Amino acid sequence: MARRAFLAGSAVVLAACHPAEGEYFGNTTPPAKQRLVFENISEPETLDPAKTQSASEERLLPSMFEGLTTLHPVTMEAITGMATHYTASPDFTRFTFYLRGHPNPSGIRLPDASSLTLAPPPPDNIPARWSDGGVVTAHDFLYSWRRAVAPETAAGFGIAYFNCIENAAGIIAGKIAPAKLGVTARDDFAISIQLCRPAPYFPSLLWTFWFCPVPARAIESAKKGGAEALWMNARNIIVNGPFTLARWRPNDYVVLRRNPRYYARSSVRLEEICFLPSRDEPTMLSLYKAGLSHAIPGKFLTPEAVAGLRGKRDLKREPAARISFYSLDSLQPPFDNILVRYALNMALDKKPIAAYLAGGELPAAGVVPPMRMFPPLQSLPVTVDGQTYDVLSSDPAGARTLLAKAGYTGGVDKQGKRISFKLTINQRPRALKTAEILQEQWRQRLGIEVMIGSVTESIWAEAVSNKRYSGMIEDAWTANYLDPNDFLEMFGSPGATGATWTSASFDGELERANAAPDATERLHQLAEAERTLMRVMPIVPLYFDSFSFLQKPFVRGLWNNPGDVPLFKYTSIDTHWRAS
Amino acid sequence: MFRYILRRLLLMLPMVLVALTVTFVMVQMAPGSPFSSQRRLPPEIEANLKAKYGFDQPKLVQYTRYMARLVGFRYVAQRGYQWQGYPDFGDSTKYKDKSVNQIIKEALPVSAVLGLFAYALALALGLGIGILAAYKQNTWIDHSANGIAMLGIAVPNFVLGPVLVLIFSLTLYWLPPARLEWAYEWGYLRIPTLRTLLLPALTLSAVYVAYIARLTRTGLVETLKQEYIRTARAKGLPEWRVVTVHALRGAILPVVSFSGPALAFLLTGTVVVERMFAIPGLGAYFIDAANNRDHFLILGLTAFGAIALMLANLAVDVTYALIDPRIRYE
Repeated sequence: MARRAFLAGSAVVLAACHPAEGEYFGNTTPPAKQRLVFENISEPETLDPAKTQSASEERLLPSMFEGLTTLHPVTMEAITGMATHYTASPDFTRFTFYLRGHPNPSGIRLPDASSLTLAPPPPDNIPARWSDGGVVTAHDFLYSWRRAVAPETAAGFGIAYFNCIENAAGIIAGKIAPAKLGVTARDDFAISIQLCRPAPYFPSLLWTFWFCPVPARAIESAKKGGAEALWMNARNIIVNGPFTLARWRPNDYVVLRRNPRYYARSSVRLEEICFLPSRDEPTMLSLYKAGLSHAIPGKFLTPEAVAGLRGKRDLKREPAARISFYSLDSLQPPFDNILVRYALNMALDKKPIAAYLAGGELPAAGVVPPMRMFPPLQSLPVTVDGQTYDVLSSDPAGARTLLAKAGYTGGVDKQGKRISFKLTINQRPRALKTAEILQEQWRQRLGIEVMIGSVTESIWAEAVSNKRYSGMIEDAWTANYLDPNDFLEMFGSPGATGATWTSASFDGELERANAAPDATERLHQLAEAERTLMRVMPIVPLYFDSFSFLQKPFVRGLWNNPGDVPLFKYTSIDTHWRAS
Repeated sequence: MFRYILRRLLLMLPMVLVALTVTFVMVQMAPGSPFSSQRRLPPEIEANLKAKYGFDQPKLVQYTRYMARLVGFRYVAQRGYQWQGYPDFGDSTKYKDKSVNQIIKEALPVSAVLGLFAYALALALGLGIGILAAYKQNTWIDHSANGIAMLGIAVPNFVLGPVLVLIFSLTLYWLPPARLEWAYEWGYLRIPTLRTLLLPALTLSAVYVAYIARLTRTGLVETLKQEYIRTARAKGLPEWRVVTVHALRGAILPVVSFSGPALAFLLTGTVVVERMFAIPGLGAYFIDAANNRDHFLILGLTAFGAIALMLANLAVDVTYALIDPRIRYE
């Protein structure tokens, strides 16, 4: 009931926004200072990069800690961070990164985002510093990464990305000592990483929080004081990113202040960022409308709110590197029959879902969202009994034929029993509406009955991760690094989705693709792997998301990239902005 | 009187124990894991997390360790139970680096200040309306007071809140739509500015204004007919004294017994209003803890809520004796 009440609240806030009121939603008076108030949706669970689990920290931590590489704020590609150059072995199993301050770095120079700022980029041979003045060295990374994989740290899910580093899986499982991690410091400013499988995408993984360096001095002295968590107090914290923690009042705000020792400090314009954890949509919208917050990030506005804000110039939209799909249990009948899986997908018309969501979502045929150099999978012809079907297209007649071939004519099996299955969804209004659209289509076009079960987030998440559900379950994936591999790897054994299908030959195919020495050849092989995957069809792909977000017109240089990771390093406030 | 209070306090111990045990069992039975998030956890990572919080132990061991922690003994791996000397509600699993004690310490003062202010508002408005209605019985004043009271009870706060925000924040731009600003801060105790406190406090107090007004009116109508009121009037006391001192004292008992649980509820945080106005009080944690299966936080908040309720009820009983000389506890 409370949720419905909150939705009603949104309607009230939006109702207050009369079309005649202007081209922007609410107050557009810029603040007098370079102080941005950013709606961070929820309270951060921790500020420890290794332990982070939630999207709240995803928006906060990149401003405080910077990895070997960092993100291009617009394209999300890996750019210079603490490292400026790297070399990779021909089979992509050994990488060496050269940190800022290295006298003679070699290999490939990482790109930078200097085109986005007026200030000249700092020279590569000046070392980066921590906010206490200490130099950031290769040993900081050694310490941080060993700490991240150590079982007693009890790190978050992202630590699974370490699994491509030699011995990491064994260390996480508690079988090998953390010191045996396949990482060595060649000198103070060069670090070598030995991988256990080819990973050409490795540099783009390194911006993620789990790979960020943490301050050894602060952590060790807090540990000696008896409470490790104290290192995250504003008084004790040491950072290497553009902003440092000034104040953290739980459930009230987190304030970051410009770090005067950051290596590219001259390009940082904001003095202060205040992150709010307002959580409920009506609250967020009314704070934004009153001008008490300046931006709301993507993927949180409900379709109803987006529809209500249509036409406002401060409502923006960007495609997201995210796919929504339904995972299915292909080990149990009737989904163990591949023809049934084909029929389920072919019976659907996914356009009405995109139309309901109304944020520019794209109906999905495959699993990898459209990326540069990687066009989305459109069709996949499969021959059954001498006849060819495009199993990725919407073809209700073909779906009925395949269902009949599988022994379920008109959705009824030979004993006269109608196919019915359970669909578990996360309790959110948009998920329910989507499920109802599909339920109706399957009923009308195939004669299949779907029972929708809506559960709370923690129950849903547990069902997905343990693959313990019957029938079908709602599922989604957002890229942590912009590469097709992030989407395909989740279907490798043991599988990070709810889909019960796994296959050693698919794992091998992915590994071979990633070992391809030529980038174009690699993408070609990854596309082939996606086709292999969809030929098995362990999921029903639904749509590629898009992010709708609000941003006051006086906010400059704050982009919503496909991963919805805002980088405030390039942001400023146009204090003189006036509505024309 | 002193012995009575002592006995009541001692009785609280087994009651809290029962409340905690029941909650513990219920939390254990609930489906869902405290470590699930938007992303799935690989099993080895989940195992590390479980080990950290002791969830890999048998349920009975978990229960014993938790109870020991509550009375001041903390279990530390390899070293066994260690005396730490204060009741410890355990660690939050969602807010990874926080103990439940820390969360309560930070959030309780905020909820308490808001609750206290809302209650003072409710008492002032409720008593005022109630007295007026009883004194002007069956006039238009009485009827409209009755109407206001019915409205206050019937309109839930999640409707009242947005409507107030719509009028005062988004149309008139007089008051901020959400969030508190702080006028004074002394460590954990923070006093918000009146401007930011007004809307949440009004939303919160509406239903209490209504109840208090109705209880006061009913009580007062009854006492005004009593013999001792006629005596008071016969003595030539001024009318306002007769009503507000002599009659009200007898009429206010139902309000007092209503106030105990109401105060306990208000002070320990209110879920809907705190969420709606983005107030960093305990209320927000109630939903979070339940949704995230944050075991120790649920247990801690339950224990805390139970103790607060019992203390409030005790305070009510003591106040009875103070207000009404006819009541004595042996």
